[in-house]
Amino acid sequence: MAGFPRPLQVLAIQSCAEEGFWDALRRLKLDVLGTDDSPVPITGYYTPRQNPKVASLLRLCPESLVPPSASDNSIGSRNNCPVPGTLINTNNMRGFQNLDRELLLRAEAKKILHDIMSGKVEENPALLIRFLVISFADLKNWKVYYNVAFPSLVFNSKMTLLSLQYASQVLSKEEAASLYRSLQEWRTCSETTVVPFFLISISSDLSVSVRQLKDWKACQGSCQKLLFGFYDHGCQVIRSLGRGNAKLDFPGWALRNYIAFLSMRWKIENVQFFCYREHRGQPDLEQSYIGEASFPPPYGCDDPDYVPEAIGWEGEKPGKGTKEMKPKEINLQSMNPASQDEEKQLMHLKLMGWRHFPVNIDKLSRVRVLLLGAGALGCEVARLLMTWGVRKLTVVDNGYVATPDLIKQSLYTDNDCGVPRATAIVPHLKERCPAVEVEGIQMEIPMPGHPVSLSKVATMLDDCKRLQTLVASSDAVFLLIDGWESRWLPTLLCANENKIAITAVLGYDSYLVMRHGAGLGTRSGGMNEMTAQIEKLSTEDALGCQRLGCCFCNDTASVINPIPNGILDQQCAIPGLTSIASGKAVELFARMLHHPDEIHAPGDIAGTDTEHQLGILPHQLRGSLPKCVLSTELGNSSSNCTACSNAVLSEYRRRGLDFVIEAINNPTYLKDLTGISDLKKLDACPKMPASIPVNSDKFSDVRCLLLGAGTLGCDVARILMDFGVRKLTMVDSGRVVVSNLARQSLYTSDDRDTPKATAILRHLQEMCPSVDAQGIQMEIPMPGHPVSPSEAAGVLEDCKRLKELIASHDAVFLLTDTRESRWLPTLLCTDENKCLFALQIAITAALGYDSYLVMRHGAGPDINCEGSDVVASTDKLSTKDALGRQRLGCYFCNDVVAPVDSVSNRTLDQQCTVTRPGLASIASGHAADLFTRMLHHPDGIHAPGEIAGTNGEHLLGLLPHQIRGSLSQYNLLTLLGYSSSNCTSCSNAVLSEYRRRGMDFVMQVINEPTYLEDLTGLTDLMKSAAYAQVEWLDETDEDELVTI
Amino acid sequence: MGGSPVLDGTLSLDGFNASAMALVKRWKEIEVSDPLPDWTWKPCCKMGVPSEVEGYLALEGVYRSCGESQIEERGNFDDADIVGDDTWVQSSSDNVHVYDFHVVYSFSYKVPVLYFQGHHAGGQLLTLDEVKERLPSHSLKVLSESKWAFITQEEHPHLSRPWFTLHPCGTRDWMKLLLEETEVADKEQSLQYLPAWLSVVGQAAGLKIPLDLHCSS
Repeated sequence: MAGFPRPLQVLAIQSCAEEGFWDALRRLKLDVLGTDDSPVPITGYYTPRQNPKVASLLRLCPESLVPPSASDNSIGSRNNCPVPGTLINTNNMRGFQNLDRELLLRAEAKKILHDIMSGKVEENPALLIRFLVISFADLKNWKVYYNVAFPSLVFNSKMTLLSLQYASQVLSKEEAASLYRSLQEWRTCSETTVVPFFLISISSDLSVSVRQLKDWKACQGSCQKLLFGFYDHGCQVIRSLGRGNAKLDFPGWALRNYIAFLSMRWKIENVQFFCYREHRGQPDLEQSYIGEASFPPPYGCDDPDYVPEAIGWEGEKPGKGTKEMKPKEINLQSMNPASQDEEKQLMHLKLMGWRHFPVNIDKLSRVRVLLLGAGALGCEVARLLMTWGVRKLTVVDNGYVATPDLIKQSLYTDNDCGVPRATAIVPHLKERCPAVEVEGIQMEIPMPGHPVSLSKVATMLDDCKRLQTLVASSDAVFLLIDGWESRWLPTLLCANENKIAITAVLGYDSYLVMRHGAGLGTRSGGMNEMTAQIEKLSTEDALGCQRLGCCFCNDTASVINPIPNGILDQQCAIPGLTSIASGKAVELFARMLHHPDEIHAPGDIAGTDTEHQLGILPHQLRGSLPKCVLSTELGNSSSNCTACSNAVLSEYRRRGLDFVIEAINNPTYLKDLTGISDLKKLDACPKMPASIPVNSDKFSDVRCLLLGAGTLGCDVARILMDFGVRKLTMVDSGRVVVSNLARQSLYTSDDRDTPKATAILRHLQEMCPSVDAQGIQMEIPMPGHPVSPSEAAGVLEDCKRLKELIASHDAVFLLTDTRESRWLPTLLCTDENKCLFALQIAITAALGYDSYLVMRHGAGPDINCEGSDVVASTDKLSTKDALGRQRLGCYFCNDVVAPVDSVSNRTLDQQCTVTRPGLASIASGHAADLFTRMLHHPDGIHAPGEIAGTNGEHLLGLLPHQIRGSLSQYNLLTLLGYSSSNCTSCSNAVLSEYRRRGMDFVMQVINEPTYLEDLTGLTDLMKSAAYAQVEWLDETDEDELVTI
Repeated sequence: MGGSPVLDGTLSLDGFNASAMALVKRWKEIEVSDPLPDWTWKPCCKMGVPSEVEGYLALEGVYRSCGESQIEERGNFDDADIVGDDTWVQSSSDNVHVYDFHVVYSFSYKVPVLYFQGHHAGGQLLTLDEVKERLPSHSLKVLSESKWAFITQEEHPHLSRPWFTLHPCGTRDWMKLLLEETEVADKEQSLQYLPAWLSVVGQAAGLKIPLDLHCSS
């Protein structure tokens, strides 16, 4: 090493940000911070060197995130000296990459300079080691990318080292011994041990004392020699020199800011410093340096706006700046693997709280839900409840799994045939969510008016009692049983116990979902009180509101308000109806649970304003698929209801099960009691309408291509199979991860890490062995995602493959995540004139995260040319289709910007496309339904778009162009939009360009984000729009559409 | 306190606390051969309030390195991850691991349990294989030969994060044997429990416990 004086060289400090720290950040981000990415104060833990061979690290541990005031840990301990720091955690990778590291470092350095000049450092010397962490916590993939900086001030004057020697060589024996004792004292006192900067005063009698920096003034006169000590983290290092090694030793990083402080605040130009190091927990004077450095006070730093230069990014190569600095990466997968699964499953619910409304996960996980019926509705509702975070389920059913049911009842597989449904459902729920507690009970629900023989009375009585206990121990009950009469006893029990009850009833093509009103308040006290209470039963509930009706209340007036098309076996309902009805039923449940009045909440009607974040809370929902309508209704409890009226309830409270037995055995008993005509009348509900000519051949022959096998993909595939579609091709590039299990109905925990394209295939075959399905693992090329030359060949291959796939299929379903991935399929379908259905769930600021859009794309343009002259044919593309009708729009027709990379800019909740559970079920049901109607329409893809309210002539009902629905407002709109001449994927300009240049054109679009906009004239349109000061608000909302 | 439970190889909570305090004190007095930091007593926090009786012993920030720290001059890129210029140098910490050891009282087994974790300097937790790879040979021998000594990953009872632990199922039996050999008063025996226990389990986890610790001062 060169002689003295020489420039001061210090050893950089390094951080050790433990996994536990990032795990704590993960929780904080999910539970508290949400999308907030403002800086967070954190605490790092600094320590003098412990091991002669290893430099100490600045540790970041889980406690680092606890606000200093709230924890004792911030006081620290001798090896954990707390140091203030700042954490900037961005919402996405791009945000992380775009952070100006140079600027941030200088901003932190400015804080240090400010603390030096204002004297704060004297009070809290640890401020000199202030640090900065920037990170992007990719919670979806359980990875964190981060960089740490220890800002060190750089000035126009240089620090020069005048001498440097080990303390044992400089000090006399007496001085050394005295210093050793004083340092030991300093390190044992809990108050001083955490202070990394201190004064050493050596008096003329060779006694040494160690004191706080703030005592500097007092020390000055009294002592002969003053050393400025600090905890040095560094150690001896080996420098490899060509042949052989040399041992080198440098003072630690903290010295630079220390010297800056001493020179600028206290005007000490020549600093005598002491680098404190430890060995075996004791001062190590053998290797603690004493040295002298000179640093003339820099000029021009007094200006309050002065921003100093700084160095200190960890991992930065000297002289290369921050450009080549690589982020550190840490994998959180190993944190608590067992409970992690559960957290991954709940992540969506937590993310909902970021922008929409805070989901009460705690409450949802505590409620016990009783499901009566484990058929098609039961399966779907159970699954969706788990998606909502419900973890305690009891399922009651009396049936057995049969082969024809497999397609309808989404949870069962081939192996379950012949097994009681109540038994079979348990493992299937568990394999989707290991944390769920589920109990299956095989039991028949006693029905009124169905007399039982004497020998069976005992069994029935047991069943009644059992049901009584089950209802009493549950918080909510779902009535999903086929038989109408079997709903009577549960309804009565729920009204009596004041439990949430939700009924879902399917007709052939319509459904009713309703919540029962609150009961009559709680039972209490002894017999006397009880009788007194019964006298006072009113039509009001505990809150004094009019009670809402149960599913039997309306039937007393069934002439006015019939159950839609009668109650049929769930098996007879149109496929897809189950998904829609159960989606709505579960939504109603979740909303009720979040309503402050819970069961007592009054019924809302669609269109009314609500203060509740979740949206309106209706009493009844009725919907019809062919008419594309959805209505919300309100019905109060009827005074002669057979299940919840005062007459019935008071009789039940008085006589208990005797009353139930009588109702069961005596068909006219209930009628007499309530004074209505006849309960049995319900059986006389209208039967299924004249059978609709469903062309099953058409279904089994049609070849469907599903792009995307996620939440929507699973549901659509299932419903299509239910319709009889047997030729399915699924395309997806992803793999099954734990968080998929709850939402994506086909996957189970056995599928983890399997490609979705493979997993979905297996499950479809399990449900229906005759299905001719194919799974393709492939990424769909996206515009505006430039590819490197090395990838280009692969992307081109994918484009060609997609083209072949689309050409060989009859209908294409677009079920992918991102807007841009829909572009190429749209273009290809328009070109090939294929049916295409786009599904999306829209997240816009205006609409919320709970609306969906199902649309069929219009037919491709007509080609009025028989010749083979391609150029001629492209010129003649018209806005009319082959039937001479105006073309319907595609997914991109309403947009004013071309699809570009929309992923990297999104925050986590947007990346995960947080939607309400059940939304996908509903959207898939509508999509499959739209598909069948189009298939049966005489004009097929050329069918004009219809609007609800007009009379569709087609037997299957209305064939709209777009269906847009919102869960929170419970509305359903049918829309019609024509193809736009500026559309980026179906306009003639784009199509003719594609027909002329083929894949070259596609590759250009992929690589040049603005190319499409230029081509279609959108750029000009935008310019003129900006010029004319037109408000484009509506359209910009459209840009934010996020899809699942 | 202390008293009879010790003889059957178990330790009461009071005995654990007393022995832990004695160990913290004794550790400071003796010469520790490995460069080990101090043991500290960490009270458990319940609802933000530190508990008076419940807590655990912690030895945190134990540095272990494989090989010497290296530094390299600018321009010499043979070993390019270590660099320096005229104001600062950087040393590589790739070979450095930081370990934390906790001694927690198990109410179900009535014995102390050793929990530990190791980090790469980058913050990533060490896997069990990585931990074993760096254990001294005599530790590996203990692990392979003693049926009581096997490392599992379990949730730390006070931190709810996964830590490695030496399973406590055999502790009572071998502690009984160990304590039978010493002839000291009951009270003394209770205080000596932790040093004796630590000298055995420390071996398995690669923690060198100086003999001085359980020789009475």
